[in-house]
Amino acid sequence: MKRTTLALLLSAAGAIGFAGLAKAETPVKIGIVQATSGGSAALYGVMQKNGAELAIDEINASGKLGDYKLIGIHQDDGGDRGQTVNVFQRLINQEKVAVILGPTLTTSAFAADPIAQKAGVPVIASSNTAPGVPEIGDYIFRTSPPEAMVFPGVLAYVKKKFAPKTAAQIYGIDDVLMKSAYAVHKKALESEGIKIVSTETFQKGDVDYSAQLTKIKAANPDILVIGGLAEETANIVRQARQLGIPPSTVIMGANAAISNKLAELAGAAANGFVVGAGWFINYDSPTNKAFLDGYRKKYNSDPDTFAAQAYTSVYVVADAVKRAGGVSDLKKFRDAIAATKDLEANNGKFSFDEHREPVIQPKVLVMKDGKFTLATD
Amino acid sequence: MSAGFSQFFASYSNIIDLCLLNSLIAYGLFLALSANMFSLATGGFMALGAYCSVYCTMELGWPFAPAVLAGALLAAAGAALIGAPVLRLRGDYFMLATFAFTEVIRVIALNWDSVTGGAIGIVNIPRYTETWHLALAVVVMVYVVFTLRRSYFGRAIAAIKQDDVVAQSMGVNVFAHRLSLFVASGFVCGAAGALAAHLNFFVGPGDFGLLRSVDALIYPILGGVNSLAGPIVGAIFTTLLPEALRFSNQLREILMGALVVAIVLYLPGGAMSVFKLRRRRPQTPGGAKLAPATKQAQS
Repeated sequence: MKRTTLALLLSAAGAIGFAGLAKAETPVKIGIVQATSGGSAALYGVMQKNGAELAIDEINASGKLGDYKLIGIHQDDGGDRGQTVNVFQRLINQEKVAVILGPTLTTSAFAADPIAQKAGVPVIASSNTAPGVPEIGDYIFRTSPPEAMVFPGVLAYVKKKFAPKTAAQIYGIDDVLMKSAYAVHKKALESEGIKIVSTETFQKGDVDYSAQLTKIKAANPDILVIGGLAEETANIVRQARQLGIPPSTVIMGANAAISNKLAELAGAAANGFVVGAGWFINYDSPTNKAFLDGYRKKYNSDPDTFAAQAYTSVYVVADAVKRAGGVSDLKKFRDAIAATKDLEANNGKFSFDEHREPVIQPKVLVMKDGKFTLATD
Repeated sequence: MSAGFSQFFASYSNIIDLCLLNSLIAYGLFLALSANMFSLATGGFMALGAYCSVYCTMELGWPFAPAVLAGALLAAAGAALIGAPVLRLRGDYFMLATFAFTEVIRVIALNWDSVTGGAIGIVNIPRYTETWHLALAVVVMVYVVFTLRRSYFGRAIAAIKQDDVVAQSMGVNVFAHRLSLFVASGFVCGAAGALAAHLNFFVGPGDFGLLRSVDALIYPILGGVNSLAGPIVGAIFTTLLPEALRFSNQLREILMGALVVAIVLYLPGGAMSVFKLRRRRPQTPGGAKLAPATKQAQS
């Protein structure tokens, strides 16, 4: 294994030598741990792998890192945390990667991140949004904003615009993400002084929500907050309107509900649906435009939030490599990642706060004719 | 040399741990299968063992060994509790009842927030499980199964496996034998759950669902339910396969499925029956005396 890597490196170096670059290349190995098989985890994993590999190609081609060449090593963990731990151990001890991007699922992160923490290898997640991930240790970062960072801003917008007095909540009780999203929603509603008149739950795989929605309708709330993934949220929105919950009741969703699928599944009922996001496809900036163009060219499809966040992760790494002057000292490299400030990213200026959480401007999106558009007050 | 070994161990220690852990689970199932009990309760037993032991170490501050024992005993108690009514059911019904048990435990774990952490699970569990713990557990387990198969109890079980009505008529207490095996299986799976919980820093209700139960059934069935080494071979094979096939991301799952189907089709007695094929007409040891009689009875 080692010998093949060496041979590969040599031949790569040889090829570059022939290409006329006299410089000696210093490789920076980046472990990409994303599920590309194994059910729904693969939906998120493939997007992030794509986003990260696109960024690696772009950075290597641009030559902005000088002698440093980023080498992405992707490993599939199948969304199974036993395998995530296997992959982490191998990447750290055998491939000797400088940083690991991932893993796809929060449960995998809880199992595998402590290994990287102990070995002193930085980890940057781009899809773990549940609370407690960066708390694993000071080498664990994430570019995916947790619900707590996004929702309060969205609620403030809704409060200003519609002045709601009462709210109803419905959420998935057996999902890590949704259960924590529910807690965040509840806290935000309470701190805004909005009274919660009804709380309902559902389980993964449910398709009929009429029992819960009928109860919610009877409570007649001013806003309805849904803690669900895209598919569930779409069904709830559609059935809520069918059951006669009036348009005056504003429906809001969790960060994880942002998907182009939402409009497809919910149809016209989704009009006026409000949600917060760290990134969205129509965000107008040169960096985002470059990202969209690059992604469409390479993969012939549109990226999603997770691809965007993984793309940002790689740019964070590149920026830190530059400032730390290489990755020979991983402690110094970690400090450089932690010090990331106002990096020009595809969702605006990107920084890490002292808890290694992303600092970004949350964007309030409103569904309009099947498209998420930036809310204008 | 030792540097090479330590690097190898650092890179692959988790795979080794998983192989041993799954072997332990496989023997737990092997006990149940040796009396024809196709149990899907493994996930439930493991959950009982895992949550109980984590509660003992993290909330009560117990040392690791008594915590594992407590988890195993709780799972054994669970097995006794459901075993008593459920073991009167046969075949498909038994399977359904044990599946229901696993689901009930999962739903309790999902909703009992104060103890299990609900859907979010429990994080930051201290890592107490060492590789040698797992290895020792497997060795003990193999020894226990080995001696069990040679005892009167083992013969009685073999008779029950062939035909429980005949065994009953010969004076074997079928229900008591089955129940004690089921409780033993619960104990082993509970201990495995406790060891698993202290291996990877985290437990959640998703770890112990139907998937876990089915995987656990696959190990001994794939390896061979009639051979002492069957469970360990099946467990190691199924654990290593996804790693060995890592070179092809796209084909991985297809290849895994195809290999399993091939084994089931061509080696219906499990992978260990390869050796029996080569030996041809073996000098029938042990239970084989019974085999011709039951074959006639079945046909």
